[in-house]
Parts: sequence; structure tokens; C-alpha cells
Amino acid sequence: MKNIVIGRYIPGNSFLYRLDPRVKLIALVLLFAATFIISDIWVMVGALGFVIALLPIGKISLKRVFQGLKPLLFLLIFTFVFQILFNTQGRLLIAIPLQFNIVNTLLAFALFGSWLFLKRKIKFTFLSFLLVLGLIVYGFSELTMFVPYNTSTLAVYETGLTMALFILLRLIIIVTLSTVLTISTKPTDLNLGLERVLKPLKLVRVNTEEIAMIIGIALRYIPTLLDEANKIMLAQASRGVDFQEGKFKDKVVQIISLLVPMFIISFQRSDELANAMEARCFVPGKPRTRLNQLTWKPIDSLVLGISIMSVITSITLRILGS
Amino acid sequence: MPFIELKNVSFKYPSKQAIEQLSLSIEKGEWVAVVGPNGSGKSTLAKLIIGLLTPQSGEIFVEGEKLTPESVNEVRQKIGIIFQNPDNQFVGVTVRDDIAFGLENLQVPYQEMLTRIDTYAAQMKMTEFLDKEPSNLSGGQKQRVAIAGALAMQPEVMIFDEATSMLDPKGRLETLQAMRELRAQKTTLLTITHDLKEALQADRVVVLNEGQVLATGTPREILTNIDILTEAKLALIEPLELLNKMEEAGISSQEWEAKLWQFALTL
Repeated sequence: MKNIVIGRYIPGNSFLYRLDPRVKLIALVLLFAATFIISDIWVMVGALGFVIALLPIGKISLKRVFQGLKPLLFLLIFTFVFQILFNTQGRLLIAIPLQFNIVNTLLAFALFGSWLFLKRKIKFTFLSFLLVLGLIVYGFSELTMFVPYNTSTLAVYETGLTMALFILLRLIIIVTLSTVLTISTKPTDLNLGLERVLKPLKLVRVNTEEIAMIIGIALRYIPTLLDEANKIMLAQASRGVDFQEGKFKDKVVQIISLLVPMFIISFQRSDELANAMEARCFVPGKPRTRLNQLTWKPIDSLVLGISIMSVITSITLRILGS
Repeated sequence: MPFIELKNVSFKYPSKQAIEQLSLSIEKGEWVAVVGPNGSGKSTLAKLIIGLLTPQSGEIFVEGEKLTPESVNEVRQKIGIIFQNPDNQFVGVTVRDDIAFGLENLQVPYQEMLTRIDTYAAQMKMTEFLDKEPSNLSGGQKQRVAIAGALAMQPEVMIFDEATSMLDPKGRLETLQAMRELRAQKTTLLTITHDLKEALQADRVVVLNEGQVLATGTPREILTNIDILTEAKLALIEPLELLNKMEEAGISSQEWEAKLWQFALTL
């Protein structure tokens, strides 16, 4: 459990790693903005190409980025399918007639029931299940001997398809860029960068330094608290609590048996930590000098320039396109 | 003028009295060990001196300056304190960050900060660990980082509040060694412990019981006085117990006594 790190920083060495965290954060926001401004599908494909080209240059493995996309796979495909099915603007591309009769409806229900039952045993994901379901409905609509009680058409329209592709590409770009950021930046550097970037908020009386201190301490204590949670789980397991199995009700009890001691210990810890910090002359809100200095390098200006350029380019292309 | 002086200090937690009419003074360059059973008010004493707790009555002076909410930050710069739990005083994400924490608070300039970190990390033999995270360090190493962090602030007195009680034997020895080195550099030391072996090294031992000073004297005077130790529910150290038994039995010789003391000091 010790290896769990928020944001999953993976040590490496490339220009992306050496970049100033402030620049990385600002560039990320700018590039996000650019993806929302782009209105032409081919420009979007180009942007994706640009982002993917960034990976080998920044020595970041494609595998890691894919791991970042994986949890979002369902969301990506869902939005894609949703857009295709329900956006009825533009030219009609494909139309598949569907007829619902007794046989395919029953089969669909049977499949759904067996899926609920089988999903523990067989590893077939919800998506492949949906695919099979669709094929069954489609396949059995040809059986004319059963009287269809409902006839509908599965239609794909041009705008629907492009919109779906748009959203898909945009999401992939955003997730890939964020993953690149967290892979190449230490959480502490990210925190420092965030503190500096948000400094203007001080004008509206938001104490960014304190917020950064809180995030920093949270980052520092994640491994310690995970260790603690492990110890408590072992202690509870030795008293007969089984954290692996059990019904929902048992799970609740198990979680409580972990959370209550964790809370008590964390409060004691924070009390002692506050004492130790105060004893070392920490006064909230008082100015401090900083050990971690950020230095602006030529590459930082270059990356910032490219990011600003990409926003300008996307705005120009949008105006030209419309 | 004593370096730290407490005059008739009383402190009460909501549930119980911790310190009652306690007076104590610590001279510059002195090593004072405060011993006492659990709940005798030892740790409360440390927190009072560093201003984490405010006494209900009585006064505390550090270098002649009275401890008040206004002067507390100035006073804290003169005092470094090491607490019991090595994990709960590690503020930085790495050893370097942690040593820097106090310096950042004191607004030490960047270049000066770098020199001080190197100096005190080297003194505590933690140079090679500067970029390590606390989860990769042993308890003793974390305690050494805490000492380096406190020393970097260049305090005039160091307080060790049961700093060895949560460590394994190796970590305990390392921390004790650090205390001896500080002693050699003429730093004023206040060590709070319930382990009499630690108290042996000090110049003066103060026995605390139920929030009051029960006795004060050289380690030799205190640690051979069975009456005091029994009243404060402290266990005798084995060689000294042997010495006592020998005296009771009428076997006594200067040579034996000297050897047993020597042995006790190496524990």
C-alpha cells in the first residue's frame, strides 16, 4: 500500500520533468481551452496527434497514459454511443430497422438475467454484453413469423457522428494531458506550482500559502496513514474481522471498525503535529522564506509560448471556419 | 541568572491537576534530567516552557524574559524541542524539507538555509538521507532529522521530551549519542524521561511526582536514594540495585562502587 501515490508520479528524466510546475499548470489550462475552442474535426484530430507526439518526446510510456484512460473507457464509449443514437441532425448515414417481437425481447431479458448472475464468474464487461444484446435484437428482427409489437429504426446521422467523435477526442486529449502532468510532476512540485499560480487570489483574501501548506501536509501523511490503516486492519483481522468477504451489512461494520480508530489516531496525530509545528516557530499567515525555489528557464518560455500560440491558432481557425 | 526559571507554576487540565506550585531553574550549559512516573507532569512541564500551554498561575522566564503570548515566538527561537513520536513531528515531505521547515518560519535567507541544512544534516549524520522520505527512515533516523531540524534553528537549549521512548534499542542509542554530542558542545539540555538510565548522564536530576518537585540532586544522590525512587515509583537500575544490596549486606568497597557506576553509565 506504501506505493500508492496521489497522481501517480513516475520518476523519469525528460524536458517535461524539468519544466517549471507553474508553466505546466498554465499550459494545461490553455491547452484545455484550445480543445474547447476547436470547431473542426480535422483540427481536433491534429491536436490529438500533437498530444500523442508529445509522449515519446517527453519519454512517457503510452502504456501509462492508457492506464489513465482505462477507468474512463466506459464513460468515453457511453458518451460516444449516446451522441450517435440521439443526435438526429445532419445527413442520414446509416439506418438499421429494428423489430421487437416476443422472441428477441424474451431472449434479451434472459441474457440480462444471466448476466447479472454470471458477471461474478465470467469476465465479460458490460460493453460486450451490450453488443451481444444488440446483435440478438437485430438478428431476431428478421424472424417474420412472430408479430412485431414495436418497430423502430436505429439511425446514425452525420452531425451525430461528428459530435460523438468530437467529444471522444476532446476527452481523450484532456485525460492524456492531465495524465502527462501527474506522471511528470512530483505532487510536492505540483503543490508549489499551484501555490504560485494561485497567488493573485491573495488579492481577494484567499490565503493560498496556507492552503498549499495543508495540501503539503496531507501529501506527507498519506503513506503514514496508509501504514496505520494496514496495521489497524491486521489488528482487527487478528480479532476475527474479515475484510475480504461478507454482505453489505458486514462490510459497513468492517469499515466502521477501520474508520473509528483511524479518526481517533488522526486527530491525536494532528494535535501533536500542530504542537511540533508551533514549537518550530510556525505562525499561520506569517511570511516565510522558501527552500523550494522555482527557476524560470528558456524551455519554460518556449512551452508557454507554444500553449498561447495553440489557443490563438484554434481561435483563428474557428473564425476562418465559420 | 538562570537560563530557564519557573516560579510557582501551576497548570490544570480540565480533568486533573498536572503541575502544582512548581519552581525550577536551569542554568546555562547545564544538563538537567527530569524523571518521574507516568502522569507526574513531565511532558506538561516541557509544553509550559515552550509556551504550548499557558500556566494558570506562576511565571516562566527564559533568559530573564517573561514568557507571555507576545514574547512566545521570540522565546521559542531559543528553545529546540524533540517530541516522543518521531512520525508526528516530521513536517516536510523529505528530510531536506523537514530540516528547512523551522528555517522557513524564521525567514532565514535561501543561501543561509542551504548552508545550515548541510551543516546540521552532517552533524546528525543524515547527509546521505537528505532526499529520502520519512516512510523510508527508521524511528531513530527520524528522531535525528528532528534534532537536525531543531539545531538548524540554532537554539540555546534543547529539550528532549521522552524522545527515546518510542524507539527500538538501536534508535535509542543513536539518540542518546546525539544528546552526548550536544552536551560536548556545551548546549544546555533538558531531558524528560521515565528511564533512569538516560538520567544518569545528566548533571542534575529532578524527580517529579504528582506535579511537584520531589527531589533534586546529582544522579548519584538521586539514583541511590531508594526512598525517593520508591515514592516516585521508579525502578532502580540493575547495577545500582546490586550496589545497594551489597551495602545492605555490609560488602562495600570504593573499587566496586566505582566499577558499578562506570558500568551503569555505559547502559
